[in-house]
Amino acid sequence: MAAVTLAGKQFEVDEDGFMLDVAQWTPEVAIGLAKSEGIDALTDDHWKVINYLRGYYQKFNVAPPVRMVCKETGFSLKRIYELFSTGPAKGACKLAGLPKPTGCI
Amino acid sequence: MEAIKLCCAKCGFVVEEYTSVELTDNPRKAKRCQYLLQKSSICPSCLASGRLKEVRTQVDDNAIVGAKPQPAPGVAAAHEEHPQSPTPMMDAISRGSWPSHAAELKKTHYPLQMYEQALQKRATQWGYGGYVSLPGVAAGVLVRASARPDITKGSNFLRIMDPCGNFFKTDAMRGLCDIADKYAYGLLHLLSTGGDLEMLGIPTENLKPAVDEITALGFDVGSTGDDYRTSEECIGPAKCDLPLYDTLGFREAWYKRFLEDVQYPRFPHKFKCKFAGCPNDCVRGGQKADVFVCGVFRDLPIVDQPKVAAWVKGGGDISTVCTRCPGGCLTWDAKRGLGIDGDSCIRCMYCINKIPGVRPGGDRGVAILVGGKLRGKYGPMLAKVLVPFMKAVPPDYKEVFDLIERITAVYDEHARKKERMGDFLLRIGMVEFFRLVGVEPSAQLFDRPRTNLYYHWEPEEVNAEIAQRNIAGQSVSKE
Repeated sequence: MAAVTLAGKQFEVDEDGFMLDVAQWTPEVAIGLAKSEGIDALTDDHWKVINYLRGYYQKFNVAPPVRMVCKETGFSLKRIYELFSTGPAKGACKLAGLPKPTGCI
Repeated sequence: MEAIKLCCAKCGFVVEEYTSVELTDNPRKAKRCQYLLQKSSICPSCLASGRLKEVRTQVDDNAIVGAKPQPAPGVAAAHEEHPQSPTPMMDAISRGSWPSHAAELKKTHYPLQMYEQALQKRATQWGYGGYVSLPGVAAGVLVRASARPDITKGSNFLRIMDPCGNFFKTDAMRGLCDIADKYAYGLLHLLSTGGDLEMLGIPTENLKPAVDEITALGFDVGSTGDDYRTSEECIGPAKCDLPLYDTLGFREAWYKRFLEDVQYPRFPHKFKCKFAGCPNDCVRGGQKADVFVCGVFRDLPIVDQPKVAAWVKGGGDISTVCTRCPGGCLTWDAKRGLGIDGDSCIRCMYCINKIPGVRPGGDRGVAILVGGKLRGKYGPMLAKVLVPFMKAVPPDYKEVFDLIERITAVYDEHARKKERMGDFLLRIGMVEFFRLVGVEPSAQLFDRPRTNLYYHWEPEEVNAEIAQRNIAGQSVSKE
């Protein structure tokens, strides 16, 4: 268990850097977390994916399947991997403040 | 601290090694140590049987921890350096007239002690495995952890997609070998059971440059994690006389259409495709593949009567072939020749394999089977037929690939995380899967009439019948 300070606030994160409390997320947190994922600046395309992930999570309380992310945002799978180099399951979910997806990453 | 070695009384070979701290901390190890000392055992080195000898030596506490020199920080060594330790068991293996894997491993940078210790302890020294996504390489890197960090810290593998038919030009292979020498152990795994090539032992810092050089050679890296795994095809028209469609061209087209799904994981679990040219199924697709495309023919096998007669005259055992035909449909008459009963023939290729002069029929296409697997939640399963026959039309095989895409879309949407296709089919049922994919079940999917008397009727069917009867009854009473 570790804590990081982002946007002047302290957050608890797990060993892979995923936020433990989803409710604490703010857009500033995503900007702060982006640096740990090797993203210099979040573009509109990044925000489109992040906002979709958050909307889906608030509705269904689970991260969406990758196919849904591609379909709803209109990006190809390749484009999503270009935006979030560690992949939609790990990188994008981390920035959106979602808990770590289960399974083998 | 004391080191306790259990040695062979005759040759002094160290069979097991413990420390006094281990024995006091871990009762299981203490029990095993006692057990080994009390019973007679066979030395793995000199094969002499007898009681083991216990040798106790004093060791410095610091001698074990940090014995291995650490590389200078900031320098990415191409290989981990391994001390030249004695390898008696591997030496024993490499003696002999056949080329030995132990002799080959010794020529490379493979950590020999991992294998040597595995032989001595009779248990693998490697740890768990997994996949990682690197920036720019979403799939293709396998990680193998080490249970013995004192020997090696672990190892990364790269999975490289092989060309169709596993044909490598020598130049391309030399290029791959150079990359393996430069960045890895200098060891290639040709070819893994999944139909791909693995480059073993690449340090994490070297992964990206190695992948860049491999892609510059014209090969693609991918197929790890929850995506399409590398497909496997039989050698087909390149070397075989039986294929019913062009398996090599089919796989080439498959890669062109689905390469993105091979390189970027998105499915609930791994997804394997295999393509066999004929029902002989040399790629074991029926046992292993989530989607198995098998070449089939609809009409009867074509019989060249003079050729069959010549074979029988030359000593061919026709009576055995006729009795062992799975459909029981072969008849042999010296005057009329070989007869095939079309009603009971199941197109199993038995007579085609056995008798020269019998060839597959001319009305050819492919059958699509789903859900074969070896592992997963409910264990091994055979694939089930989804479409008994459809035409495979080159060059883009649009109809077949559209169906495969529909299957993956259904799997993607409805399957649970880490659920293989076979388990998914077992959970939702084949009837529901037919409905979801949009395929109409046909009579060719059943191999025999139903023997079960009890049958569930849908309410709509029964109600419609009753309504019809009531209408008929009313019209009769009116008259």
